[in-house]
Amino acid sequence: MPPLNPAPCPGREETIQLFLDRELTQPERENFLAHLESCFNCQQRLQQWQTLFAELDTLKAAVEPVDLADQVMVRLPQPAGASQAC
Amino acid sequence: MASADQLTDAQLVTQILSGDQRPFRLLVERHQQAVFNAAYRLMAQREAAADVAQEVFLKAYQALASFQLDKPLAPWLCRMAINLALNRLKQQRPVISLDGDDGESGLDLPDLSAEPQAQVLQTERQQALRRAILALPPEQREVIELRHFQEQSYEEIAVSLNLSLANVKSRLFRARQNLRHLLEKEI
Repeated sequence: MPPLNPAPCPGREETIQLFLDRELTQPERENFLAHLESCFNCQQRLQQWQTLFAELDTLKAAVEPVDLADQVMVRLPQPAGASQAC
Repeated sequence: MASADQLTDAQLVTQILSGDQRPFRLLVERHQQAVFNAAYRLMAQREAAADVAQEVFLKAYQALASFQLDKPLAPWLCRMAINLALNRLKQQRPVISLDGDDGESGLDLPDLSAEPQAQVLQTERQQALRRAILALPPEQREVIELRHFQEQSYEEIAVSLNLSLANVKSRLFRARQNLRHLLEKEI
């Protein structure tokens, strides 16, 4: 994975992540998008974070099957009044 | 009459609380994958994650009477999985310093070679990403899990972890930076 170059504008690193996390207010979002239109460095950094976030998404979707039901049910406490096994 | 499969989690919980254990199997089958995945993303060993997942359901069974039926079950179970997994991690390993007091980075890529090949984590990139997440300190793994996999907002994370919003942001941003650095090492 290429290193984080070029650096975004000062103070924008956090803004980029807040933007991707949808944590900016509407005015902040508009301000950032306006800045992005003319700033190549910030565009590049946004793209790099977007790539990482998308890769994390693929990890979320990856599933290693598991089947625990039998093991769990055997370990549940016996209900009151259940007869003891001989 | 609706079959058990068609019953909601709340309906199944109500049946269980009235004394019938059998619907609990259905709850386990519905949620075991999500619970296991949450534990597995935080822990290096599949068997340890499966142990944690089992413990989650056993604890959940004991705590069902206190569960609010109007809330979804899955987030409650996953939160329990995260807490249990992190507790196990704290018991198993010393805290790694990120300050590098000894002059070395505290972040090392874990060796997963002893793990059986996951059937679905097929791409090298996914494996690299998994290793990088596992190399993060537990509290950074936790925020990555909550934000990216449990899809919690900053405010929800702050409540979950009893942190200020500012702390959530700084921890999350630091975790992501570390993740990037770890992934760069893999190339």
